[in-house]
Amino acid sequence: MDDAIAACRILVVDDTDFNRTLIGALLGEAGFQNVAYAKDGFDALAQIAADAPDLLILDIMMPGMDGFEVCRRLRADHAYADLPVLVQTALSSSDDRNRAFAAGTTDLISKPLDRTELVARVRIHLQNRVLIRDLQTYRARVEGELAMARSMYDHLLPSPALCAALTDSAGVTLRSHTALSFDLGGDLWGVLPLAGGRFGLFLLDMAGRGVSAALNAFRMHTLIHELAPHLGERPGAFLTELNERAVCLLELGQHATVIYGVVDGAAERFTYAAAAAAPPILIRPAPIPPDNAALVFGEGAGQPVGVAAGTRYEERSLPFPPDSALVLHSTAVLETLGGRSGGFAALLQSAAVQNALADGDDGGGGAFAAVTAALAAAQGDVPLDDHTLVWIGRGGAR
Amino acid sequence: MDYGIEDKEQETLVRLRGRLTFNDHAKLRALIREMLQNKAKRQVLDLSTLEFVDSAGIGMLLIAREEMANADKQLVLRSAAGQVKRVLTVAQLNKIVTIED
Repeated sequence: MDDAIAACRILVVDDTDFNRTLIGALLGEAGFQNVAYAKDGFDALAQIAADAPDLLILDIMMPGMDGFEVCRRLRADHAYADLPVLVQTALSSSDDRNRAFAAGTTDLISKPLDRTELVARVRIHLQNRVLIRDLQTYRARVEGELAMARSMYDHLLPSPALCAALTDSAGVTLRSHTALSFDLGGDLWGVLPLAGGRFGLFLLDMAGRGVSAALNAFRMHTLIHELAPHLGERPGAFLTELNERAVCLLELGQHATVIYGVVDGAAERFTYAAAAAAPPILIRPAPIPPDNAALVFGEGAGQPVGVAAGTRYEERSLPFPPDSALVLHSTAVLETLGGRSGGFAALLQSAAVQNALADGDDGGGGAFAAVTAALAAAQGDVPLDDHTLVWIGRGGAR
Repeated sequence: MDYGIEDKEQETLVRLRGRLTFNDHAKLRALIREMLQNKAKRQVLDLSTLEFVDSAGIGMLLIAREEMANADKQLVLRSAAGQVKRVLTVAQLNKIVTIED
């Protein structure tokens, strides 16, 4: 017998000395080493409270408190909800047996006792218990590690202090919304301060899920910061080099969609390169000329980073005039809003967002809040994939 | 996601149905093994009834392409529509894999 099972604590509850001795002898002979005894229901509950057993063998007919009541009280207490309880019973009618199960019995052992049956039932329920305990331990560990990975992840994202500093130096307001899926979907964004009041901005979505995607996102984060000092000013060259490094680093089937761009307030321009990313969107300032749309879409197409060496990424640009807002987002945002009244574009053009933009003297804060509220409602409490949305507002009167 | 395989004279036609996501990793691995055992040089994935593909799904298609190339076979993606077509276009997979309408 497995050591873990032989060492399990078994509590035998019976008011008859002879029965306790008999059951103890049978269990001992079968190799169970940790058997304790209680002489009635009260004694049993007191012993369980002092040192919880792994399995209970319970007599039904006992003076004071019978086995049904012991069972009910145990099941009423959350701590013992899954304690296996084997009831020894001479009850032969199915009504009585059903009553035992209704009180929370796990299994029955018929009286008079049969040695083989007793040992077999005890063993099988202890095996289940040990297995479930192992799984619970393992699950708690995985959950703990995911939580740790998530908190490390949170530290990679730009801090409010960094965003505030950019507001001062670059004259823009940076707002972000991130919602991670329960198993980490591999989204990441960040800023790279550049000279002359400009800054670089990247948004990355690692393919895959879970710890492997998170680890790869960490590696990409490191690469991006390595490249920043040399190539941060040139988005096309930046992505081209990032791809070369990523091809060497990532396994086949792993890749990232990335958009990297330079926000230049003075030149009123957003210059960027994209690798299979969601397109950047410019929301034009009100009033919109009648022949123009409120939204200008950039281009997100490009091969994902990490797929093929030698891929070149084209540099593109969007205007970024005063009082406009630039929106970068992960494709999950599109998926989430896709089914809802024409999707993300419709949301950005909705009256709520447009009105908030029109009377916004807070750099688009109201409009951002309206967008994230709609997004939060659509994605539910725990989104199925990571959602990232970065909103760069250019206030006139900020 | 599930699939059906049809052996034709010149090519093997695999019809993918449903959603191709991270969860289909094992299934796609099995499919790749089946495709490798097939005699045909041209292995065509018919995507017309595939509703959705995520980034991990794209990764798996690239693995399939590589495995076929290693076995001197050609992978063709055919008849993508809707979201699947958009994702293939945005990722410019036509530069790496043969894509047919």
